[in-house]
Amino acid sequence: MSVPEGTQPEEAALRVTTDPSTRTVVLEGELDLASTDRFVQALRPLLDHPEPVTVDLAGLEFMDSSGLRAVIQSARKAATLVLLRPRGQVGQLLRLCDLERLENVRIEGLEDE
Amino acid sequence: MSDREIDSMVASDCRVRAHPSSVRLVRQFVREQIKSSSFSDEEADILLAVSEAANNAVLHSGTDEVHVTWRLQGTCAEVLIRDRGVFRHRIPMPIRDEQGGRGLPLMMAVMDEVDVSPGSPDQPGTTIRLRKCKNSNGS
Repeated sequence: MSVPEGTQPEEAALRVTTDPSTRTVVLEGELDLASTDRFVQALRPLLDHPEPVTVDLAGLEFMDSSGLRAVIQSARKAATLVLLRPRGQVGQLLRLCDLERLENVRIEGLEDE
Repeated sequence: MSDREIDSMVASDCRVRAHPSSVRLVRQFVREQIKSSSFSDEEADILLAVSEAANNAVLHSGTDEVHVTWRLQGTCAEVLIRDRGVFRHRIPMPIRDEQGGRGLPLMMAVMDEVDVSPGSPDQPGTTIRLRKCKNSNGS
């Protein structure tokens, strides 16, 4: 959960990697108010397609309601949005907000409580 | 970033500019406090609530500084998030589901106590008080 020592405030807190071949966006770090735009931009080119889009959350340490909002907005434009391997606080948040109420959102690999 | 004004055994302070990039600094500050106390089991809940409160201050208060205080009271931790702005009451309605309003419900879901002392146009300055006690069932 800790931020690496020497991390400057100006450094990006979120690392976004896209793998177009598997239609996956990998998030590492923290998804918050300052970083949701980059996530939404990375996801956007993958949305207009009938195949599912996957967001790999295994390396994501933190998400708040602004991240949640970005996920919901993206899900509206996706055929199916798969949220893969949410861990720790991210898993708790997704569980708390019951995101699978959205018909086209699937959570896979959620740890047991 | 933390200027300790009050007895450092009791409370620690941090002031950041009201900007989206600062919310992460607020979390770093709170993480440090959690590390030097014994609230690691409550860390995820506290960090979420603090971020939501800081988001509100950054997005809606219209002020340039957010002031965060961490303090311990027995087996409970309290975080105060203060701005100098006017509080906007927001209720999440289905029709505006994408526009936020989730901050306070989330804070209340994961903390034991949440209260808002709202700033008004006559008396600006909103304080959100978040309280989390050990071995509670806040989440």
